[in-house]
Amino acid sequence: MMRVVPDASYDDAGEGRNVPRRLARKLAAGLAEFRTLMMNRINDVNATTCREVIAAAGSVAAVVDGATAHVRRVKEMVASIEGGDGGGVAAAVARQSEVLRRFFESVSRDIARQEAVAERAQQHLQRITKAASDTAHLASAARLLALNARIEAARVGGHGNCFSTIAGEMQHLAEQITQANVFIDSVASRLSQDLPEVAESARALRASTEDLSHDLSQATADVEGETAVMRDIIRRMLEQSDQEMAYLISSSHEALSHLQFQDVVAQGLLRIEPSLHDLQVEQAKELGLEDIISDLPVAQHREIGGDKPVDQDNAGEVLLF
Amino acid sequence: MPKKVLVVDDSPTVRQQVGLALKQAGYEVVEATDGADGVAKVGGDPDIGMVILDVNMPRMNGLEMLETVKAGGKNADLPVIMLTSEGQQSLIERAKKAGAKGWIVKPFKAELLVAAVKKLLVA
Repeated sequence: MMRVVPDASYDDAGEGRNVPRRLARKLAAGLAEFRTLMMNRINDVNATTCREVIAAAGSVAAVVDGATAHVRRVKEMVASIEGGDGGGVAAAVARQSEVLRRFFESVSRDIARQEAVAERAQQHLQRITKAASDTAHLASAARLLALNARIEAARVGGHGNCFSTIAGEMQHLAEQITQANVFIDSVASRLSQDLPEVAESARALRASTEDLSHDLSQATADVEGETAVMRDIIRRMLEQSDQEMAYLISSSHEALSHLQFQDVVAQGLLRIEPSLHDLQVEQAKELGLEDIISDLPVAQHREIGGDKPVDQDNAGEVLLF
Repeated sequence: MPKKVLVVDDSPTVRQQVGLALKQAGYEVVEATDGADGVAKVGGDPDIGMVILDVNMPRMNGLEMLETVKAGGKNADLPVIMLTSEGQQSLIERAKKAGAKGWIVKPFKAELLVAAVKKLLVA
C-alpha cells in the first residue's frame, strides 16, 4: 500500500477540494493500489482456504470410503461363511455330515445283516450237530446189529455165510458213517468256535459304528451350534458396523456442512470489493477528481440479488415445492 | 445403475462438498461451473436424473439456466433443486414458476440435502 506523506503545499483545512490536485491524485492512486492489493490478498486467501477445504473434504471422503469398503468386504466374507447360496463353510460342513451319516447308516445295515447271517449259521450248525449225533447213534445201532447178525450167522454155520458177509458190510458201513460223523463233529466244533466270534465281532463293529455315528451327530450339532453362535456374533458385529458407518457418514456430513463456511467467508471477503470501489468513488468526489471516476474499474457483482450477508435465520432451510 | 446428479456451482468447495455427500449416498455426480456449462451438460447427457443448481454464478446464473433448461416444456421430468445463499421470496417464486422442485439456503446440512434428493428421485 502506498504511504501518503503530507508535504508543505498540503492545505489541511478539512476540505478535500483544497488539497493540491497532485496530492489528491496520489491519494486516489494509493487507494486504488490498496484496493488491488487487498483484493489480490483476499483472492490468495480464498484460493488457499479453498484448496485446504477441498483437501479436508477429500480426507473425510477417503475415511468414509475406506470404512465403507471395509464393511463391504466383511459382509462379503460373512456371506461366504454363512453360505446362503449353498457355497459356505457351514453349508459344506452340514453336507459332509449328511454324507457321513448316510455312510454310517449303510455300514450299520450291512453289519446287522452279517449278524443275522452268523446267527442263522449257528442255528444251522446246531441242527447239523444234532443230526450228526443222531447219525452216530444210528451207526452205533447198526454196528451192534451187524455184530448180532454175524453171531447169528456163525451159529447157523455154512448156510449163514452169505448173511455173515452182508453183516460184515453193514459193520463196515457203520464204521464209515462213524468216521464221517467224527469229521462232521470236528468241523462243527471248529465252526461252533468261530461263528460266535464272527457274531461277536459283528456286534462289536456295530457298536463301534453306532458310537462313531453318535459322536459324528454330536460333533455336527456342536459345529452347527458354534456356527450359530458365530453367526450371531457376526450379525451383531455387522449391526454395530452399520451403526458406526451411519455415525461416520453423519459425522462426515456434519464436517462437510461446517466446511461450507469457507465459501460463505470467501463470499463475505469478496463483498469488500464493491465497498472499496465505492470508497474510491467517494474519495475521488471528495478530492474534486470527478474526472477520474470514469477510469475506476467497475466492481464485480456476482450475486443476482445484490451483495448481502447470509441470513443465518434462513441458512440450511430446505423448501420442497 | 446409480442415478446421476448434476451439481452446478461456481464454488469448487461447494461442488466438492455436495458431490461427496451425494457420492456417499450412492449417487453418481457430474459437475458444471456455471449456468452455461450446466445447460451444455444437461443437453449432452441423457442419464442426468437431477440438477442441484446455485443461483449466483458468472456467465449464466442459476435462474437463467433453469429457465433455459425447462423452456418449452423441455426436461419437464428433470427435478431441479436450487442451492443458494439467497432467500428472497421473489427469487423463490421465480424458480418455482420456472419448474424448480426445491430451494435450499446455504450453508446447508448435507444430510438434509441428501434426504431432499432421495425424496425427489423416488417421487
